Amino acid sequence: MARSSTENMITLMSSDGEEFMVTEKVARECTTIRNMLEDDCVITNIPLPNVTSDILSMVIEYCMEHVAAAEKAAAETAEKGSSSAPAAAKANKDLEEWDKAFMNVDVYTLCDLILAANYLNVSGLLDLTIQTAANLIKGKSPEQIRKTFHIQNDLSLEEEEKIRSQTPWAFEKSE
Amino acid sequence: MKRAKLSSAAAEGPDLISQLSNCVLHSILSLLPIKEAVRTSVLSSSWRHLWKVSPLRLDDAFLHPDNPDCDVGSWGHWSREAVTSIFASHHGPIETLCLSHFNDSTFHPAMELFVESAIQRGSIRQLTLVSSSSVPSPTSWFLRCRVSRPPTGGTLIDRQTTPCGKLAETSCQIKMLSSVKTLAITKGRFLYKTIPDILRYFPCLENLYIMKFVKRRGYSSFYEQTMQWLPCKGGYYSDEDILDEQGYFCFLDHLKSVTIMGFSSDDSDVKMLSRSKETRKKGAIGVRLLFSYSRTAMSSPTRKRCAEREELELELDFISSLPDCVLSSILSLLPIKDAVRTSVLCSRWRHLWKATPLRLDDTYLRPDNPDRDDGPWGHWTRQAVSSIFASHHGPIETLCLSHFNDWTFHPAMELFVESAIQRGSIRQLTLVSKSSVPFSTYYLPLSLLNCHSLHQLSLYGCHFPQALPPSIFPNLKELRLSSVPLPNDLLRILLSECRSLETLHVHFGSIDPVINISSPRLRKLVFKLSYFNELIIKDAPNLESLMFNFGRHTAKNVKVLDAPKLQLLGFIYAEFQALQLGGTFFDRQTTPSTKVAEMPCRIKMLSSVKTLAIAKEHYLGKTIPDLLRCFPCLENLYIMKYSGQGGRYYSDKDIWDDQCYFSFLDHLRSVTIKGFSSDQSDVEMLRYLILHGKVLKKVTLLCSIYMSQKLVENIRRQVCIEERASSDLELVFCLEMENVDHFSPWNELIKQ
Repeated sequence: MARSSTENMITLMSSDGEEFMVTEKVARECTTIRNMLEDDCVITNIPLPNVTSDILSMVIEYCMEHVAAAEKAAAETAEKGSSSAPAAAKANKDLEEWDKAFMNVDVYTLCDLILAANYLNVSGLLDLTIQTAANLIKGKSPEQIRKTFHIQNDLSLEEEEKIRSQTPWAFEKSE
Repeated sequence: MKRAKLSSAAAEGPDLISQLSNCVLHSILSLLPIKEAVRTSVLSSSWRHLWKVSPLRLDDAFLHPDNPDCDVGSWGHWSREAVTSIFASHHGPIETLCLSHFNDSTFHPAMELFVESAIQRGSIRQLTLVSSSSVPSPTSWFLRCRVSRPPTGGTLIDRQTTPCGKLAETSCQIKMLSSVKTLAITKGRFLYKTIPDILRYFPCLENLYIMKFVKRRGYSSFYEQTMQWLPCKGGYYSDEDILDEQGYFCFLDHLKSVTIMGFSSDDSDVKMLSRSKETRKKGAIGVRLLFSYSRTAMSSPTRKRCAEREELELELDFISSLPDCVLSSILSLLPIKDAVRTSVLCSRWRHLWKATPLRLDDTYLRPDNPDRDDGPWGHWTRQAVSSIFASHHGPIETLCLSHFNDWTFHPAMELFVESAIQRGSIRQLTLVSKSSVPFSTYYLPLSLLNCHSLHQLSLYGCHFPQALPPSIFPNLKELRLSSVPLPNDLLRILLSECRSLETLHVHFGSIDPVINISSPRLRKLVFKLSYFNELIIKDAPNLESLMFNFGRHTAKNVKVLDAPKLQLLGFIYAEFQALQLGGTFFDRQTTPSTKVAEMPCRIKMLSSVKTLAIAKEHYLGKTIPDLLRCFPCLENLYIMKYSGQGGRYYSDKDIWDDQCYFSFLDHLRSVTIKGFSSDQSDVEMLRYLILHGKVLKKVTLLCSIYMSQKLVENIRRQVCIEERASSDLELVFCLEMENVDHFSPWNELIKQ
């Protein structure tokens, strides 16, 4: 990792004051930070008041993994002249597996990650987390979804009945 | 007398102002109130026409007779006369226009005329229209909007024509008025259904001003007059339901300020405020509420009620605290049924799905319990689709309507399609119409042909209208036609007028027996027809894929004359009567089996082809080696064998042994045979390819019957796998039924 030592290091500071040193390349995965760096290239310390340290460390972990995967693929392409399809497919599969394992978190963390990905504008992470959230909702009855996400039902019985009656076809299973 | 006075005054000094250039004078005039500007026409002859061409800023709310007693006609008569005469004389650009004296329905035609005229002149920047005819409802509203660009049709919102029905909540208007940032509405004491409808027209609204009619002195004379004009009963009417029915408004993401004049803590206002306050909780933008009180201060119960709502929202759970755009993205990933179910989670989620970009495919919209479909076929699904359209009012991205194919449901389908087009964001549309009775066919609406957002269109059994507009499907990339009558005229128009069309699929349907294709843009062409005579690809500089399946019994002629980029070609039939590829002309009767290598021009022509599919009978014809010689750079070879024929055995061992070297053997990477049955002709060919293919990586044999281990070993020996030319060759046997993917690009042509 001789290259990273010559690379610019950026310090990201979480809302609870913890500091994370990352390479500029990793930081650039976050579009929000990339825009900051492009506006002002000498900036080295970026406070992120909306992201807590545990979530920020996860975001950085994700960015590092994906930067490393991209670098590896680029190196292979440069070596062989042209990328071989099976190797690229395998690398993709590995990364997907990694993403899947990475998404093995509780719903609280998931929501925090979505917020952070949305705020930092990490498109890959946002897509991943949103898809995970969608998978959690898919095929569940309203009661199950409320339980999963701890959603407090603030509708009165009459109101809920009214909403259900508007689209009765969607609620057959739970009836 | 007056005239003499004026000229004498002018005579005293040099007339400096008239020396100014006309454009400067125009700017000066445009700063004057219209009455003053018109007055300048009598200054001198050079001033006479100046005001008529200077930019007009006309606000008829301030166009009153100097002496109020002058207004001899009915209310506003004087002003209307004045406006009419201004429009009759003025012919310069119009920048600002406010028409408030034409609000009675009898004057609407005049208003329409003026608005049209202002739009025609092309420079209108600010337009205020007041239409407050009182029939049939006591409430009335007017609209003051700032448009940064000239409105083009459809902005004239008339009370009578305002669509209150949910379906018609159209969005060509939504699209048109997305530039409006500030909006003022006047309303009666109570909110009426129109208010939400109006607000929906302004998706990017930031500032909302609401002025309530209250019988109270102190307003400008105009409002007072308007009030007298309207039977304002001020009856209390709870519109709680109305606002709750409304789904999510796009503008809630943008709204920054709300100002209510004449706020009086009645329930309809509070309800509305609480809706807009949800944004503070929801989004990043803080909402600032400004109350303008005319006299009374806000009563404490109201304040308390607002505060209660706030507390309620603070108790919400964490996923609901995600911003709307994120929740919308989550919902758009869900099947529609799951998305609709989220509406009962809690009030925060209630309307979310309604504004989420809709991807609706009614083929997969089925009752969970199949017994539930108690009506005739598709009844359940049709009901569900109708209720989705009744509630949803966000953009529609993908729409597939397959349960409305009977002609009795065509009107509904038309309505839904129209609604989807109006919302302006439909990208992918699939329509299925199967009616066989001639008079009840589904004709595509003209608005669909002109739809700009459409990228992919699939039609089953629909008809194109007889008269086509000059430009059709401006941005369509992919068109799939199934059982759609496609005479050559129509095909020619489609190929020449669809400026972006890249992919065309034609599956069955009456088509002329001779098909001529020439298109500069087309990249992929797929034909699946039951009969045809001749297919001619004349001029297709960008064509990359040409796939066709005509059924072997009718196969006649295929000519590929000029397609320099063609990469994928199939099915070439070994039984084609005539086949012209580049310069090579194969004729079934006269194919010279040995003398093919004599035409170098055709080899050049088809060297772009990398993937080839051949359909053949059980035995290999002599034509196969000849055919392959036409594709010097072939990389992937697919062979489909017809099954069910009494396999005539014909040893073509000699044929392959006689062949000299093929140039494609340097490129061939994969061979796939569908319907492999270990007959001698296949084995001979494989043996040849395996022995000579230097870069051959994979041979896949899709067998129609199960191959025992012994049989596999036997074949491996027969094809001389041990003596293969390429070291990393893989020979795979698999069952045809289980591994459809292996034949993937061609399955579309085969499946019934």
